[in-house]
Amino acid sequence: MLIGIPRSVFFYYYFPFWSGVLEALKISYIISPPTNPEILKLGLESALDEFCLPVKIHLGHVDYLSSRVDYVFSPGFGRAGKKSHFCPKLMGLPDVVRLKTDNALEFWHDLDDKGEILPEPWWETLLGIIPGLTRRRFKKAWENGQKRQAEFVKLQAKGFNPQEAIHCLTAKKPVVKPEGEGRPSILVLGHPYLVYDDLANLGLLQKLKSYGVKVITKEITPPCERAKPWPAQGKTVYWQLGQEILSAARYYAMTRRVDGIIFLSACLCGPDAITGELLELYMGQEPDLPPLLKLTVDEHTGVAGMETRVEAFMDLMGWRRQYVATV
Amino acid sequence: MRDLYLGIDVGSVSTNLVVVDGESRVTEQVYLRTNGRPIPTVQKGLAMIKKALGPHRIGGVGTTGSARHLIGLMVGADLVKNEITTHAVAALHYRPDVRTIIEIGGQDSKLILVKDGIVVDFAMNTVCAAGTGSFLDQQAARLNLSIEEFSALALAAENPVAIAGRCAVFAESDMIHKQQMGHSLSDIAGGLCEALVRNYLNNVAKGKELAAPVIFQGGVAANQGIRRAFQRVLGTEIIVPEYFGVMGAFGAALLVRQMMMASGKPSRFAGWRLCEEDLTTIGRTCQDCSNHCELVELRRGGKFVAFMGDRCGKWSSLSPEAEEAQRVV
Repeated sequence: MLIGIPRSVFFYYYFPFWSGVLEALKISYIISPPTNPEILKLGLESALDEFCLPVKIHLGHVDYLSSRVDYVFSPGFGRAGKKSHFCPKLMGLPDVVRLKTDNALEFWHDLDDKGEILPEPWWETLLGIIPGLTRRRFKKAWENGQKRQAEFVKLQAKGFNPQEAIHCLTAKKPVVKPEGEGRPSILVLGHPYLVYDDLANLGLLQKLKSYGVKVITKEITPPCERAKPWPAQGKTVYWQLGQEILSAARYYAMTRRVDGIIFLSACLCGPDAITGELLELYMGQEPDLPPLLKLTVDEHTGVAGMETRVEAFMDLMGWRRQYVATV
Repeated sequence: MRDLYLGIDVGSVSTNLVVVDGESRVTEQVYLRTNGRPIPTVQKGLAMIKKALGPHRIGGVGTTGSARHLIGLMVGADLVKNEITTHAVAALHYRPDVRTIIEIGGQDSKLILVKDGIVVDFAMNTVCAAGTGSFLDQQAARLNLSIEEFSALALAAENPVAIAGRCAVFAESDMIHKQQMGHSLSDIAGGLCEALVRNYLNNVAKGKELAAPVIFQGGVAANQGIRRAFQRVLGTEIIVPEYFGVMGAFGAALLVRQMMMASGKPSRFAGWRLCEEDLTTIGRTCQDCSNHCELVELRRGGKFVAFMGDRCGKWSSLSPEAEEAQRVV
């Protein structure tokens, strides 16, 4: 039996867990390649225009895998603790995928208050494809997944972003430390399926690195800072990732650990429409915080618009540094 | 022989060239329509400039605008700079105390906020080009008016009608509706200007504070109706600089002048013979990996000059100029 794992949506958050569970159950899997124009095209052809780019990309990965494997791993995301949710498009994702392909296997993610995935839906799905699966064997597989995920989290604490950490875990190569200090440093905020998908973000991270920028992403925020609201924030936002984005911005901006912040979002993203506005509002209320650039991506392949904004942002940061130095 | 500095701004709608002297004074300026053909348009512009200039030496060339990399490669630019920065530099040169720069061009509209002479924030229109020059052009053409006539009519509007400004398609159907109702062309043109300004404030400015002095530049600043609408909404004087249509090119010229004077190096300018040379581009898709990058090959006189557009750099590194042009920030 072969399962295909799409390298989309929360792949860059949960792949270590997914692979840990599947491997312990001796299920072979393949991963779709990083999003390329062919996969994007498959996604665009099969999606409704209301979907955001990340969902279209996901459908492209599913389509790519569907004919190559027995089952396509089809994740869905619902609750994140008691007070927080994933986006409705991700809740409905497995249903949309089921309409697209008849060999999808749903793996539902509801998170408890500690951020742990609840096992029951997985048990049901896995029982359907592994006849005679015992609770004991399932529990062992689950623990293997958790162990793998813990290693992944540990790598992030050392400064590896999820993309680099997954590379470290899968490549079985000696772990190279992420690059140290660099100037300027920019915090790139956004959902993992945009920040770590080099096609979706039009190569933003590579571009910044080619300019000599030290790129920081929100996953390396110290754990105690991850949920802290802004001083002006009355209550935490409803969307789990939204609050993580706001809190990371708060931490890095208030402690002056970065020279600038880029907020990357997809056109038509509902949660980000709120998060982005709040981010701009809170940052505007605190004096002399690092500058903020909001970038919106969609399915365009022309990089000129992105380059212009990023280059101008680099100039702006440079001027600010000079100004601060002369005052 | 005096040193001159050339700035070239190749945008979606217009191509502008500006020459400044050692004291940052504009000696020549050219405004041309790009018409979708950036290379021949730049050649034409260069030919016009060459004719107008007396004895001189080109001390530096800077390119800007959405075709800045391609044209930078073609002319041998010393500086390739994004258009937000060049517009800000030019406006600051014109009014060092400027606080707000509104720039509306063919397909982009920008807002640049300045404090104590440094840029502190900027914004551009996102995915939609409604409310930019191309849309005005298109509507003027639909009404069979030149863009100058449109401007005059809009200014003369006594009772501008309400037009939906969020989307160019809806705005057009709204305009047709008003026109069929019997409203005068003048009131419709005036209404469109107000809708465009509202759209700019909602989509680009988004509630940011637009402090005076306010500079309005870019091709659309020629439009009297838009100027008046901005003035009315912002309640402050709208300053339109002398060279409002070519501020990007002016900024590029100012920046390259400063850079070359500081470095003392000779310019890499390819020379005026560029105007007559046979310059072509050939597009192709690289099949070497799944990225399928869309490559552009630049040829001079049928001979290979450079490749651009690859992500991995193996094509652009075939020529040192191209590698440089892609790297320049």
